Amino acid sequence: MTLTSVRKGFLFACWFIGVTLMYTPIITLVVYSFLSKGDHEFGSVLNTEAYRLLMRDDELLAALAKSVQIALFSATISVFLGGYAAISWGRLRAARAKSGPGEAGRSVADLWATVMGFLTMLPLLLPEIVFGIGLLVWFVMLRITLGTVSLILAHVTFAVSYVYLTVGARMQVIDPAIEDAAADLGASFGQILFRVYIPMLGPSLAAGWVMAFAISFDDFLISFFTAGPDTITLPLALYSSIKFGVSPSIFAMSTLVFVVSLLSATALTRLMLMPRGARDYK
Amino acid sequence: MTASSRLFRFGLFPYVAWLALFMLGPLLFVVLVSLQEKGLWGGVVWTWTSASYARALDSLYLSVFLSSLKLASITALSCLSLAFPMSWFMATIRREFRTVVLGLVLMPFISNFVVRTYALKFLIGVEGPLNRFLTVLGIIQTPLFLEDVRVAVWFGMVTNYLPFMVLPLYVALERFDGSLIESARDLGANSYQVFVRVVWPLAKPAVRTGFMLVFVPALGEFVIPDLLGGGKTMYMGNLLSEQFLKARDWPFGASLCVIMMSVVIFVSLIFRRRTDL
Repeated sequence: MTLTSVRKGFLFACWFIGVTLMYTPIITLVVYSFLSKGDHEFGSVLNTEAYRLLMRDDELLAALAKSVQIALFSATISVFLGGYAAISWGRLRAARAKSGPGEAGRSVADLWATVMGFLTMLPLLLPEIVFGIGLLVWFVMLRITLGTVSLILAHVTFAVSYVYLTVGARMQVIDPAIEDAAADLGASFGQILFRVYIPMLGPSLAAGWVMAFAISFDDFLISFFTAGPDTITLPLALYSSIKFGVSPSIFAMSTLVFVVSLLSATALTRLMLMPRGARDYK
Repeated sequence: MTASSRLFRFGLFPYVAWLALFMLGPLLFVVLVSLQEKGLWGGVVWTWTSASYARALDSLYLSVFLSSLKLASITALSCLSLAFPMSWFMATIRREFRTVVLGLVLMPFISNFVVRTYALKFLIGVEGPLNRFLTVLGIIQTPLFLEDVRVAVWFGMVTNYLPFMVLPLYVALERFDGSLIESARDLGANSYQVFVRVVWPLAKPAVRTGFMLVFVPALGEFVIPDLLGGGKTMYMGNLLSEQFLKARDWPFGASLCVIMMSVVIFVSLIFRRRTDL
């Protein structure tokens, strides 16, 4: 009995240490964003000076605007590409399940399954830096100017798989007979898309969009290589400003971004965990 | 086959084309560039040569590879030894608390890692709150992390990558059938035997996944060593990015990239082959 409680205590202690380690930086940020003293110093008096400094920090605000702009474009393109692919793949999968082994349709579907699986898993198999550098030399070779456009292209590449996987998971529980029924009743491609698939996939499309936005907004490594000298997103601005020492306005900005992310993550979890029934008939 | 179902079929093409163009294309291009000659002012002269690889095998660069490998392995092993008891705790507490503890572990993920590293640098810096606090209390005389920046780098790496290890382990241990432990105990196994012969073998696939999830990005990591190490240490990531952003030696940088990819692929193959690992 005592041995069990000792073991439990040990496990809890490990968990506590781990969580403390993970939270220390975040708590530091939030606390010290309210302890600023002048432009580059921290004191011990609670105040909101850092937030006032942030409002006057044009460079940081411009970087925020740039990040939001790029994330909006990247997320929207990712949802079109990834969502369309997920619908197609879901239909192909259903057809594959119906057809027997050895049939022509089956081997085509198997080939696609291999290609899709490989491309979707590839970013997890290799270090991100390799892709960042690859894209840099690739863009230069293709004569694509490094800037907003190259960043959007790069971010879509790494966000689109998440949309594909999220929407694809939802596609698995949609009965392909619904589309057949719509087609039999004379629905066109547009009608099937907008009145059958998009309403049924709604929450997963929204979740995919938010995820893609977050990936783009948060990305540092890929942007570091593909941004070019004049396009500065928020993570890049933070990175370069560290070289000049800490500043309270960065702490304030990070705290605000963290709070907004926390709220969106909560909303996203709600969206994903919505009860089946409510989701199906929305 | 109706016209509409043909349009739906097209959906896979843009996706695959995009990823082939912006993910596969760049990777293959890096391999190609690594086998070319360096241009005089950056860029590439299209002549086949393996000179970059010969240069990369210099003992100077080999030591950089080794320190990166060491850092990535130590980070992964440190994360494993902390994450295993953490996940064990999370998987064995009462069900209604599990979502809460899992949420607590996942939440740091949503803050930007540059920001977290920034805050950590501030916190453990020579003039930072941690050192000042400990000095005031009289626990330390000289600031921590001043002498050996590698400790600071290690600390930053572990805090950053810990969730990647906790997630797969938690998922595996949560599904773990507790009655297996009871039967092992009934058959006379002690705690050590239960762990080594029941728990560990069943957790191994998750351990492998977690190890790769930490090891792969840690091998190419250069922001954490750069910020927390103060530029005093050279890792593969720093070396790589310098070839492209400062030295402008593309073929050499590309060959380093290819070597890094090979190391990662080699390690994952070992992990897949050796199931007894």
